[in-house]
Amino acid sequence: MKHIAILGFAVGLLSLTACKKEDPQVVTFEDVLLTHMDEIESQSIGDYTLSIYSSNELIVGYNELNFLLKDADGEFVTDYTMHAHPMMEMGMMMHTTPHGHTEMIEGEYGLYMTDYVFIMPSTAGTWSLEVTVEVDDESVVYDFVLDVIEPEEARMISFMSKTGSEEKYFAALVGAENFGVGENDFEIAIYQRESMMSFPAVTDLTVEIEPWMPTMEHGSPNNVNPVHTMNGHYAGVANFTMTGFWQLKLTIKNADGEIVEEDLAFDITL
Amino acid sequence: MKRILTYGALLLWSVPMCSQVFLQIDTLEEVVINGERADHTTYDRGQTDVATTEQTAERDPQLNLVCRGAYAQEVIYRGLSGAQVATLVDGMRIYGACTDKMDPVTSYVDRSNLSVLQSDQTASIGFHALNFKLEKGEFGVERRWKSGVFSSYQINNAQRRIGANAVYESKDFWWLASASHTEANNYVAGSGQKIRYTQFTKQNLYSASGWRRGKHEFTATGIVDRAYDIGYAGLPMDVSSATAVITKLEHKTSLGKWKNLNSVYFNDVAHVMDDTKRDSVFMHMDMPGCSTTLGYHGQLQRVWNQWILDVDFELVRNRRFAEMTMYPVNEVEMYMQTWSVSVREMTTLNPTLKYFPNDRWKFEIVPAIAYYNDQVKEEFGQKQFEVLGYDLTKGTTSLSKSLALTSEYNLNKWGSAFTFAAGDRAPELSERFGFYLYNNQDGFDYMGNPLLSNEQFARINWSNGLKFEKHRVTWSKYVYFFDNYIFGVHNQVLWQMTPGGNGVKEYQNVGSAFIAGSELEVSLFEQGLVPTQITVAYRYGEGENVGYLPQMMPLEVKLFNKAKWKGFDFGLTNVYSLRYTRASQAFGEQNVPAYWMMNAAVSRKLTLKKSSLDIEIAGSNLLDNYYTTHLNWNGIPQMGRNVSLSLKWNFGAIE
Repeated sequence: MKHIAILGFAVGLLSLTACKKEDPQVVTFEDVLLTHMDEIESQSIGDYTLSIYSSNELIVGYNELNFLLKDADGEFVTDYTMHAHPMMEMGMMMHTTPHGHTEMIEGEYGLYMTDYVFIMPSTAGTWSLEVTVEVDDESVVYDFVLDVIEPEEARMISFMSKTGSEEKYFAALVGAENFGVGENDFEIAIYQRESMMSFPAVTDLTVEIEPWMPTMEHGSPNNVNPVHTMNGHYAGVANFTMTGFWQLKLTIKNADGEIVEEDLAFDITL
Repeated sequence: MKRILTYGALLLWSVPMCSQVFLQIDTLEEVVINGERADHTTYDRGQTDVATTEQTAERDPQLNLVCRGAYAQEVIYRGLSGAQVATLVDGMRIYGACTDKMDPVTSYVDRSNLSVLQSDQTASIGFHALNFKLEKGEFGVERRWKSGVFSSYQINNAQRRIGANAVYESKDFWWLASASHTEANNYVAGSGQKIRYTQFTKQNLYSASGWRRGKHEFTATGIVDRAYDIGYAGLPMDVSSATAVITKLEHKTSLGKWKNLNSVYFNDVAHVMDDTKRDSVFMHMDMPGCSTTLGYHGQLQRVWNQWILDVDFELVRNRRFAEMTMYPVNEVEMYMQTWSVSVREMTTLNPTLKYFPNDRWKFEIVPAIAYYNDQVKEEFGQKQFEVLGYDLTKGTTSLSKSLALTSEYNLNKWGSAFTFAAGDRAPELSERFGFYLYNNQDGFDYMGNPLLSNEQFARINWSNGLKFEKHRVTWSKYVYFFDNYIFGVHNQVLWQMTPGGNGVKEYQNVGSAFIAGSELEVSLFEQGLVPTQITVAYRYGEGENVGYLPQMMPLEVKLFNKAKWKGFDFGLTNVYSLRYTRASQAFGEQNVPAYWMMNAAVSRKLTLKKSSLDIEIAGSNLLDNYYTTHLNWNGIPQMGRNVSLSLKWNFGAIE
């Protein structure tokens, strides 16, 4: 969600620079986008080129993918809809992965964003992303192969419910790349596996956190437990008093107050 | 702020009508530090050449020493310490660079740098000022050179000291320089037990120069002081180096009937803690700190018939920074800023008006005002405090004010002085912005509190004296009342940072408190064969939500005897202290048994052809008693029996 703010700023910046007529160098929206993100994939089919941008390498965990469509003249296409479908192919079996809704976040340039929580790295098989674009009453299907890596410190943890219900959950940490000493807003995105093809968001959990420094055996004050905002995202505040190795410990309870998981921890090196 | 006032004191004495004022102790007292200046030097060990600056200061019954090791003892006044007492060097504000108060400013000067200690009750900032005045030269009538070398050795801790000084004086120019090196091993306590981590090495260079042109007089002073490998037996860490550069430029002149003084000064202190010498540490840490101060001090003074007016004005900027890096095994290092870059800008205005209506009465009024602007300048530090719920992106300003009124009455043999003072003091930077400062005495990490209010005080001091031809008695009684007393309070919510610590304390205004105490000084047979001085001192302090206040000495009696015989000077000191039963639990103090300590010294000046030689043999704790004081951290014992030999060879003009 932070990227929307960054983009908003970028657009603002662009409109500022665009006013300067004497400036011979034309700054395009793409240029501004590229100062925050990298183009990770691009494909041309017929007249249209679809490009995917991300602010970091795709990891096992929470990712935001941004999509831009250009026509044959290199102009941004703004009146199109898209639908993307991720799939992991592992030889004998295949499954999808938890993801959010596709949203148009910058109508002027036709920029779409979708968030994905990849639950395994590309070393386990092949991550594909099939994107169907509806433009000019025409349907174009792009097929991307995504490279998803395991980050140095896990940003997604899966676990079986301890209530004995055989439910499998996936919890991803959102915003950890901006963590530092001080007050940190963050989110935990939690999904459940219904079937190999369905990983819906879980919206009725209670999440408690404790930032913990295991080496020193101390925590930090004034943390705010995450509460559900929308689409399985739980927003909270984690405080870190110093740099070094921390853990963000989680306890997750279901709507009945039963403990779903309590020994969960994200490692965080500041 | 007449504390800086060289002339002030001199003028006061030169006003004939107050020649009977012998109760100066009430508002401005001086302790002679450098033995060269006075001949009543062999009262006790504090006056011998092996004594440190702090030990010399302790001769004053109003002062006590906090010991965390053998080095850098903290001079406290009537149980007040820290920001309650302003400790100055020649009028300069200097702030230590150690978050754990291991480097009181007195540790950055050598006793060879100093002339006198002025103790001033009517200081504007804090409740008291101690000004360690630097040794200066004088404009002479004729040119002369004086120089000397000094050396001493003390047996207990093999302390070796060697140094030299030189002075050149002429009609319009003087120059003075001294250098010294002092080195000590661990000392042995009265039990025969060697106390580890009491060693130190100190080097000091001092130079000052004055020149005169018409009615303008300029003085430049500079000190470079470096101590290293300093043990702190009372703490879990030592200090690998403590360095200070202290400089000042001063200009004196007269503007019509006003005397005017302007000085600018700069000092830079760097302090590095060291845990590598300890047998077992939980985790290696680096904890360096620095403190830089830039200041201006201006003064205007005028004398009318029966009036003296001094106006002091200061502009001071102090910048401090201390950080801590911890190195866990096989893990990424941890880092925090214990004093993030924090700056205090301070402006003070402090006029003093004295009125001498007749030869019996003296009145003094000292209103003072100080304005502070404190800020954490670095974003990292602001973020650290964000965690605690404070927004430090903007500075904090505070105003402190005080008023002191003194009346003094002298008639024939007796005199009496009464002072009423009231005001407040702003919290110190560390009390505002300190971040997890570990205090080894109570085992708590201390957190600053940016929202602290000023600590208020009211003081009544009443001194009476009687003076006979050979005998003298002064009796002072005082009481301090505090409100919004600043004290560390256990915060149950915060996690301690220091492994094995007891928790976290946060500075808070805890309510009211008071200190009451008394000092009696009796001098007998002043010019006789065996001059004797007795001092008795006692303090009591209690606070709301605090219990007994810390650092309140039990009844202590000091007996000084001296004698002259065939060119020898003898001195004998006995110190008796009752047991300390009012330890402040909240401060981590311990009760301490009573003790008796005896020191003695004999000295002789040999006059040679063109030089003179001072020889002194001194013994301290002659009974080899094992004892500790209520101010020794974690009950570390004092030094056991010790004998020292000092030699001082003086060339040039012979006194």
